[in-house]
Amino acid sequence: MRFDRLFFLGMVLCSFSKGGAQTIPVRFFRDAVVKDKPVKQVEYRMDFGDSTGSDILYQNLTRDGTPVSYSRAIKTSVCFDGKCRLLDIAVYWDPAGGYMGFEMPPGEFLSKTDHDPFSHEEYLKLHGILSDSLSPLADYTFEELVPGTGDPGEADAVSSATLKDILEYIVPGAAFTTYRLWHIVYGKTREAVSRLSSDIFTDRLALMLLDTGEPRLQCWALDRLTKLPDWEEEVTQKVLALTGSANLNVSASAIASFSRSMADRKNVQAVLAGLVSDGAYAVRKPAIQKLKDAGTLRPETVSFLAETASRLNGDLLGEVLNLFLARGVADVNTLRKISEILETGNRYAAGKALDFLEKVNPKDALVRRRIQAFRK
Amino acid sequence: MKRRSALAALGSMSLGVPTILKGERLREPYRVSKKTLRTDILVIGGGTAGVVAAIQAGRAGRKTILVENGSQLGGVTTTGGVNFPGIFFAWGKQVIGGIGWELVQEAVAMNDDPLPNVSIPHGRQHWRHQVLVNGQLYAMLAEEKVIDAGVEIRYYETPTTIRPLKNGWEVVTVGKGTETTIQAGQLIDCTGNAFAASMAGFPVLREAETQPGTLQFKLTGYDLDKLDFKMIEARYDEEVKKGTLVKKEFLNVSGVLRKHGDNVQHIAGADSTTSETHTLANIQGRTSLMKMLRFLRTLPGLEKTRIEDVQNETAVRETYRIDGEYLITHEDYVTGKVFDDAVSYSYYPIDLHDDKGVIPKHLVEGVVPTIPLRALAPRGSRNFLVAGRCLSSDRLANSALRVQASCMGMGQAAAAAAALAGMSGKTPLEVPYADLRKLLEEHGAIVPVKTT
Repeated sequence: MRFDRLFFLGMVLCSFSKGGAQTIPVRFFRDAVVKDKPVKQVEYRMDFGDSTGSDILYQNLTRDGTPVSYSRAIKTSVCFDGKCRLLDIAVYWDPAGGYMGFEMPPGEFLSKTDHDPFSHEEYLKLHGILSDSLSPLADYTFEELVPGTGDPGEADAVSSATLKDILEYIVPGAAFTTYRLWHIVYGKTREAVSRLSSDIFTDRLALMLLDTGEPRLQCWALDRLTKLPDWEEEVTQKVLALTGSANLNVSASAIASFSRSMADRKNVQAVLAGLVSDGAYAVRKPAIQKLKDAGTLRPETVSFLAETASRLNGDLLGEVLNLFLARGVADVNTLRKISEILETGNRYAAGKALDFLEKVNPKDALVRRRIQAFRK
Repeated sequence: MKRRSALAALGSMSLGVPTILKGERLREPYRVSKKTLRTDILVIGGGTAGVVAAIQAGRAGRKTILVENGSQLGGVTTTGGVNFPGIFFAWGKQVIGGIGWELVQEAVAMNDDPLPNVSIPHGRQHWRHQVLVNGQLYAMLAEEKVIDAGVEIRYYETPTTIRPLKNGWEVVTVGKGTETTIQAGQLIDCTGNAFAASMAGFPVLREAETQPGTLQFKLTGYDLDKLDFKMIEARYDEEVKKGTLVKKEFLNVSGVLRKHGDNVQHIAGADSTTSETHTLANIQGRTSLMKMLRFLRTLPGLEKTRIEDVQNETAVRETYRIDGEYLITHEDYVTGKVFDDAVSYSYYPIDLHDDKGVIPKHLVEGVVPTIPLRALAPRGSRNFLVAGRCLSSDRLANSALRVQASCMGMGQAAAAAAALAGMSGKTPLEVPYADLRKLLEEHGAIVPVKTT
């Protein structure tokens, strides 16, 4: 297996000669989001339960041991009308278990009914189907997909009609090959890949995936960062930047990734407080919650939130005031800021402010005057 | 009770003189409690749109009353069992946020449910971007937030008369032992059926044939891998031929089993507008389910099939729509027209169910339809808006606009407009659009932006 072939942009156009023999190996890959090149390989022997004759998962690593891809060499028979030929294909996964692409040895090709070779468009269609993790193929047995075939065994290229509404999810004339490959891609191998990468998860792997810009890979890395006791500064900076991602899955995972001790840090609290003030609405409460989870609430964070409070709607204001109550915030500057909300005219927001101030029981004369005025 | 005293009691009762037992107190017959309430905003209907509308109204600082004829909030999402609201994201971006999303997000978090990964395009399976929530938890969260917003909830009440006042509306409701006159500056009809709009005298529209409803239920007690689907389908077809089962109620018996009953039934003409029509829809839904259950339990491998859960009501897709100041057309929807007074986005395929099932027609990539405030205002109305599936729209547009996320967006927009109208002594359509946008965005709503 040549690693330098794995990573290139776009899908590769293959050339074919008559009779199906290719002059260039068939290779179709998604745009490379992991740029690092592998230089070594580790083999894992395991039972994938998909009877493909392949029980080895290759972990492809950089020099420092960071996984950049995984692969399996699938060898299985595909038969039609009693004639069989070998399906010989290598399938690749990224470190989070996502489908990357496939390639075939020189001279090998995929075929359909009567063993007609796939056209370029059919390879593209197959690649597109395999790229779709949400394919309805997940929900069908092969029997349902192609009625009347009985147990598919190793048969392919069945001539009976496929279900009309899922025709687009298979390559015509190659239902079994499509179905089989999709289930290999999204079967036990995917879980095994994710597990193996999790087992050797490092700052280096985190950085590599956060840099891809692909939300799925970023979320996978962010969800595992909480398990690292401490992060390199570069990782922290990346995660802080991702808290403002336009993708809600990414921003929510980034906020959730901070441990209690990480959330104590000045720069982390500054970003979280900024999100409360000006972040996407859907991440404002998670940011407040993360501040609640922090070991301490820094004075500058309190000061910033107190300044911001009057600009928040009543619901968010209530959450910030609950944070203040939980942390015993009762300095006169904060209380004066909050008491200003009593005079804004919104009875809901004012009610939140009053509730907070009554619980704090302030001694400051100005604050007490405002409370009395509001009660009147 | 000893035999002698029991006989004595019977004797007394026969003479019409009640016998007081220990611990009992004689009370006068209940008299209907009549009262008059005044409020800034009255929301009628505590379903998907009404909950969001009430919370927005309360948070805007307006005195608000929410009238709901059932026992809990959430409507289709909770009582109807369609506990997978959507769609909040389009083409990788959030398009409906605010209070509706807040409810969904918190329900998901409190139940440790996953949010769908919306960065993966849903393709033709739009439901992959719907968010599964615990319906009962959602109902309680909604109630908690409505109360927190200072809204007065009035369960088990329904309007009987609605008449205009000089600056608002007077609505009489009846409930269990109550008759309440509510005078409101602004009225928002969130019944989903344009029930209040019709009662207030505004014309409403209805198709000759409406989309079927669905009673949501959950089947269990069988092993899918051990079922002979060919035999089951053959037996089902036999029963349909005999007339004991109705094909259009369950189009695909394999689907019923594979999906364990989730969203598989069609009840023709289901209508929740009045007690009589809703009673009929509920009875038809249950009767249909009982027939199917009895049939399934006669089949090999399905003898132990049982109902794990069934909703209290048949959920309804389509009834009445208002004749609004603007009618959103199918063309408007599929081209993603951005109106000058757009207050919310909507995103869903054209999704018209009929007796042959449904084949959703997906939007072209990049298209995100919008909802103008005028489509929420009955023609010629003042101080009156609707929110939810009864907005002014043609049937095809409505088949997409009717879904929960869109209804949530409408609910928030309607309430914000009503709040500003009440504060400025105007009718909602006279509220400056910039003010409306500002208030909505302050409360997290995503207001469409017109790009030229």
